[in-house]
Amino acid sequence: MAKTTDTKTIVVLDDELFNIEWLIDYLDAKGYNPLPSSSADEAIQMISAEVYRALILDLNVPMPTELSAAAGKLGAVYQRYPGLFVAYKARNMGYRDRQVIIYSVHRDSEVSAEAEKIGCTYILKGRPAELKSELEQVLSFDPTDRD
Amino acid sequence: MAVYVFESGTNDMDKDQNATKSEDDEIDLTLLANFTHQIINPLNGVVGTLDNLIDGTIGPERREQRTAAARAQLENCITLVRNLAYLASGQSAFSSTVERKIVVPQVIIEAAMFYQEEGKRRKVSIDLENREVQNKVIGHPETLKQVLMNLFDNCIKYSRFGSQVLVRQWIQNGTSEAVITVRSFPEHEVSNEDLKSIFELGFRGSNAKQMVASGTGLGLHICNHLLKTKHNGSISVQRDGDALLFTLKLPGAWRD
Repeated sequence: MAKTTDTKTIVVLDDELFNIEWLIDYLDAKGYNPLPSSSADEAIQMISAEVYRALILDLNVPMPTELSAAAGKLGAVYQRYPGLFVAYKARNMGYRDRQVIIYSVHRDSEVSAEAEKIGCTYILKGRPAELKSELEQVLSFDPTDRD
Repeated sequence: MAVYVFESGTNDMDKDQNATKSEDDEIDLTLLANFTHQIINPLNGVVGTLDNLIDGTIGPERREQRTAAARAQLENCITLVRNLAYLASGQSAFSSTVERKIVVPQVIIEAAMFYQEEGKRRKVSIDLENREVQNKVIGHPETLKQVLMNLFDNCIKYSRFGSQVLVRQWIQNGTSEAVITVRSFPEHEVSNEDLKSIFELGFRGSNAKQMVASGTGLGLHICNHLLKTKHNGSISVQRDGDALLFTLKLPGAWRD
């Protein structure tokens, strides 16, 4: 696993950021720096530059054609849900499984199967308390922080 | 004279009808899935905001703005449900079938007010010129407001950050039609191909998809249908430089 290089920042990927303003407020109140992103390519650029504390990824976000082609090589589900492709990239960059959280309206069996395969958390939108509970556990301990 | 004999079981006519039916079913399921997404997202946001208000996560300096934002999200959901209700049950989806006098600038302002919060976020303003000119038509105020709300929703979501949505209204000489134009600046160019399909049910253009991955493709379709069926009016769209110009026409307008 990759060592966290930015322990205070959490990337939040969602193309309708006003709908997760509550999450931005929550992370801010907990002393973290929420870093919003609204497209798959932007999120991948961000996570290539640093290893952030956690990633919260919506599935349905815009993705440019060239990236979509790359996602398609992994399978149609990665093209259909660009957030899943971002999760895959993150895990392959060394993010730990619990650092990568898929947070979506969709409950899709194909996404569930891939999330299990690549190793990341998958939480449904509808009960914000569930996400908060998961975040509290994830953020309570960083195994790469040995200082 | 040709005589068609349809036997029980599958024949070509049944196959065609079944194919059309399953295409329609697919459109319905896709629309329903998109609709579900569009409703749950903002409602989830409202619940999260309420949690934050209750447990004190949001400080006093932001409480009013966050509460107003949550209200705007709920109003958006109501608009979406109304769109779907209209689609599902045709003309009976709206409570009033009695026509009334509509003061055109008033209904424009009322519709625009629903999008103040979202507009602030994207720094997109909705501005009505000559609001003091009280042009009037007879019609269904609720459905005309729905049309305008759908249009403004579209403009706020897909316009360039920091741009203006300019609304004008006047009475056309000769035809006595009330004309309302809504001019906005889309983030990405809208192709001629997309313009041809823009009022089709379920259609989302590439500008829209590049900005927001999910949407119902319901709003503009409902605009077209409501104007035709409830107001004997029309809506059209054209490019105006790098802007998009929607033109609504409503018959029988006057000014006192």
